[in-house]
Amino acid sequence: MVGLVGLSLAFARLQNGDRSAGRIDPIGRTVLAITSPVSVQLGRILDQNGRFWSSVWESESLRRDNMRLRSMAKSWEQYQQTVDSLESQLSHLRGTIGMPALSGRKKVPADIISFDPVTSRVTLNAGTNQGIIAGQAVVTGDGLVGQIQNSDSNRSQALLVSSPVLRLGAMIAGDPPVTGLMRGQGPRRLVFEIVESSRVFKQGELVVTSLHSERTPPNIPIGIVLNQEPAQEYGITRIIVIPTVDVGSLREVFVIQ
Amino acid sequence: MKLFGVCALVLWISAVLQQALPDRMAILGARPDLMLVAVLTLGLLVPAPASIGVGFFGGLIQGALVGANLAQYVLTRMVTGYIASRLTELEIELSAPMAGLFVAVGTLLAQILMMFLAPPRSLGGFIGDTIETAIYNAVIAMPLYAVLRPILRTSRS
Repeated sequence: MVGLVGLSLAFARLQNGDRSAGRIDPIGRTVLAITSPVSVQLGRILDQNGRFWSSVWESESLRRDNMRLRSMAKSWEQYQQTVDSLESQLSHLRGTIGMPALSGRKKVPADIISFDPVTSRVTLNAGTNQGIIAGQAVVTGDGLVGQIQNSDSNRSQALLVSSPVLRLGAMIAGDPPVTGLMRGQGPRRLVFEIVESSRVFKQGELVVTSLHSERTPPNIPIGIVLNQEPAQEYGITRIIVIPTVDVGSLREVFVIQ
Repeated sequence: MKLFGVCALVLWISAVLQQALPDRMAILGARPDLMLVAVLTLGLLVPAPASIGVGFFGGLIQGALVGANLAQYVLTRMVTGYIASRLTELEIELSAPMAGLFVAVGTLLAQILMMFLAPPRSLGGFIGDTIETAIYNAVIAMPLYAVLRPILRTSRS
């Protein structure tokens, strides 16, 4: 038993070393390689089965939703034309004053194949072969899920926004926008720390990613303001935020490159 | 050889299901820990030395799956698997519901040990989740024990 404990400590040390280097350790790679092909297929089958039965029972509401989404898609197309036109003007103006053009970012789809709420970590079925590297943002339609911590050829692991280890640049829109650092404090609770401000933040205000990250694009929703705590440290205001993404019910995500 | 084969198969199936099922099986936020169910149920059916091996590999697989600290998972699973195995040396004929109860207690023990090795951010939330998981694990352990008992019965003697 002592030998096995020693072995596990050695494995843990190897794991930490690989994690620091942004890689998944050999044990993790092996275990994922022999289990995840089957578990991913099983998950897909279960999801397909669930979708089939829900479509049978909810056909009428699906038809209504479909009509509503079609009308939304039409409005979105008009909105997109405006956005394209503004982006084109912005690009032209940046070129005029000699600034480099803003590069578009590619979204890589991935499935969550493992989720550990204790360590606030998910494993994705996409890795360096798909261009995923440490530091990239993991998102869904509802907002930011987390940030890639390490990856190998076909797998990657991401820390969730709810992780106390992860520090993210964030901001609350306004004039001027208020920027600060966001960190996790539990599965459904984040803390946004800013330099003390006279502004009073209202419940429901949206907190998004800041403009100043190299890897994480700006304006991705992270959470909504729950309340503002009195300053406990001189000069720091703490705002309690609820994340917009519920990872427990999530299967598909995108990694932004 | 049969004992090794059955344990390896149960751990592999549990690892596959652990990735695919718990979130889809969540009831009011409660999720089962299928790897722990496998380790504890096998612990009730195999000799003590084998239960340590089951705990070691169960912890290693679970830690590797979630990318968490391997030593914490290995240590907690080895200790609880071993205790489960020693408990059944008390000359009591375990029924499936009794096995479920043992697995629930084993789950609580494993998570309490984990709590000391990796202190959670929210103690109240962690204890609540652990109790829910223990109940869920007990329910799953009963049919698993009933299936595995005839296969592994001879391994103890």
